[in-house]
Amino acid sequence: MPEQPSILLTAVTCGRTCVTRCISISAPIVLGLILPLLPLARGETGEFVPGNGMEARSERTSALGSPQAPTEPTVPGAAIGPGQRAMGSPVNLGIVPDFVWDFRDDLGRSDFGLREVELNFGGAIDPYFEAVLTVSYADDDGFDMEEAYISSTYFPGELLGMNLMAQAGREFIPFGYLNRIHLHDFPQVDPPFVIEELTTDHGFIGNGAHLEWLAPLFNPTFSVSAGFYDSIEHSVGRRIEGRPAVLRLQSYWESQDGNHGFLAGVSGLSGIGRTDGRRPETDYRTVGQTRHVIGADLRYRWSPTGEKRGLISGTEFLRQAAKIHRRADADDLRDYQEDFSDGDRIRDLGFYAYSQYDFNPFYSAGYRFDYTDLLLSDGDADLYGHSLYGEYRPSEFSRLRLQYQFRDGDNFIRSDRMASNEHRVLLQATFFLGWHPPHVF
Amino acid sequence: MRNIQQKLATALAFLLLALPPLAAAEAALRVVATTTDLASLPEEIGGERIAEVHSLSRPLEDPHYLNATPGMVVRTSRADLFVMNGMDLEIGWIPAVLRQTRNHAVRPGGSGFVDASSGVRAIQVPDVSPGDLRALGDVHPQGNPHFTLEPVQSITAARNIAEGFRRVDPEFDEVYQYNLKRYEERVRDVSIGGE
Repeated sequence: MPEQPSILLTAVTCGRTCVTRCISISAPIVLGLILPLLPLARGETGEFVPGNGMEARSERTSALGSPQAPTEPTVPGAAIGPGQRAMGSPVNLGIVPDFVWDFRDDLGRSDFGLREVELNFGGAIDPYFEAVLTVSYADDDGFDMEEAYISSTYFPGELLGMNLMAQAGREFIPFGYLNRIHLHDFPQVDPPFVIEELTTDHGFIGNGAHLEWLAPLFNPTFSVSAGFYDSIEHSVGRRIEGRPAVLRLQSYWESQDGNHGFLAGVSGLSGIGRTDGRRPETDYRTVGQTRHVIGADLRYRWSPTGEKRGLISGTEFLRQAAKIHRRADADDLRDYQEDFSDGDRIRDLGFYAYSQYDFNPFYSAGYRFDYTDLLLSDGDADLYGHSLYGEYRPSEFSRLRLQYQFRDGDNFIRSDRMASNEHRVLLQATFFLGWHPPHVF
Repeated sequence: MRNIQQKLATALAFLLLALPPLAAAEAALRVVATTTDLASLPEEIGGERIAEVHSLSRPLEDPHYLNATPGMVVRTSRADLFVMNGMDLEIGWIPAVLRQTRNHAVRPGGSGFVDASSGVRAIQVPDVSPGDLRALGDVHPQGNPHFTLEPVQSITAARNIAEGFRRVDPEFDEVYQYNLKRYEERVRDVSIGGE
């Protein structure tokens, strides 16, 4: 009998070995974090000054979210004095339910459900380390430990102006732009086709560490991230031949008046050494080996000074090369079995591009174009897409999206995965309760 | 032999390129503030000790709704003093910047971190339980953060900033106290006719 609570076993609905292991690892951590949080959830805060509700409070809560009184210095040797208040509670907690209604005319049916609910925990461990933990539940996949990492910027190299940051544990690896973003924070309801097809909607999640160096340049900025991983969960990243390694170069430039901002990055994911077709026991997907994945991304932001409207555009290109193992790849190659032999090298690529106009802080509208090869099709089957969407944000903590999508799959010559053409309507409602890890542009 | 000399020279050049930030930090102070009105205060208090004051937001921008950018991370990474408004004005973007800054001195609790709202008597604080704040829109849950519009309250912010200067540059504390006193007198002259 496995040494884990039975309630957790019942939570694993898909029966996949890796998910079970994730649960068994994550459960004690999650429970350990939740239990101490209960007093905070009850809302114990500073006292109020009696009055009509618009008077001063005797002890305000901290600037970044938590009840606080004068505290000990968080940096050794630094005194807390006037104008230098500490902020932040030991652990921040956030819950993000994400509901999606999905109508597809080719199937002639609609589905509504909880696509994902995400639990976020995070905070400073001590002056040297910070931790973030993200657990998600999806109707399709059950519970999953998406992130559990420790990060630090304390290095001896700081003295030489090295500007380093290290992050270790389970993390979204620094590859591309969307790979570092949670699904509910994607710019549209569904993931771009190329992301879903070549990396899956979970993206590349790695068990390992990466180091980021920030060059001492203001404008443009320049950073280099390099990571090494024992394995990559989900997606085709699991098929990387050898130990996965990733490299990302990124630069951000802003115009002098601040109205325009550009973020550009190039990324590469490959394997070090060889695994010769061997796969970890937890790899339930019988798929082949990816030799490398490369990507390039660009984002542009226009936000005119003094106005609340603006424009955001983004594009991302991915290309992956794989080596065929007919027996191992049987499931994914079922449409192409006759075309490939063992050892054949294939390449799949795709990109998306979108623009979103923000009329004001509440309303936005946008368009996305998709193109992608199907996984392991070697360019023999591709898919186009056009998506129009609108977004309404009643506040910073809730968001509604309506999206119409047309999938042009005329080139699905042999694929039985979906109909040739498809009309689809998606409605999404996302709610942010409590803390949510902020994202950098 | 010439090859070795060339390599040494190249290595030395790289080292020198890495060092200017340190050298500049010793000569004078770099200050980063979140808003332009806050940025004017370190200029007043720091005087000639200031090498640069940079505001992360532009004059007409709404500081409630800024995007954290990599440029902000680099700016704070090289700052000697960081001044934020506080009272949740920058709650949507400053945590992302401070989490990634490589400069621990400007993080909360560090010697170069200044919350200008410290000691400011908050007004218009919603008198509801924290659990109900979001139901009211979560607008200014700590009270009205625009205290710099009130000249007398800006004196409190200026004192906080002077205290920050004293922590990061104690040798010139007399300069900062002198400038602070002058600033206070000017504000009082303007706002309450020199009473």
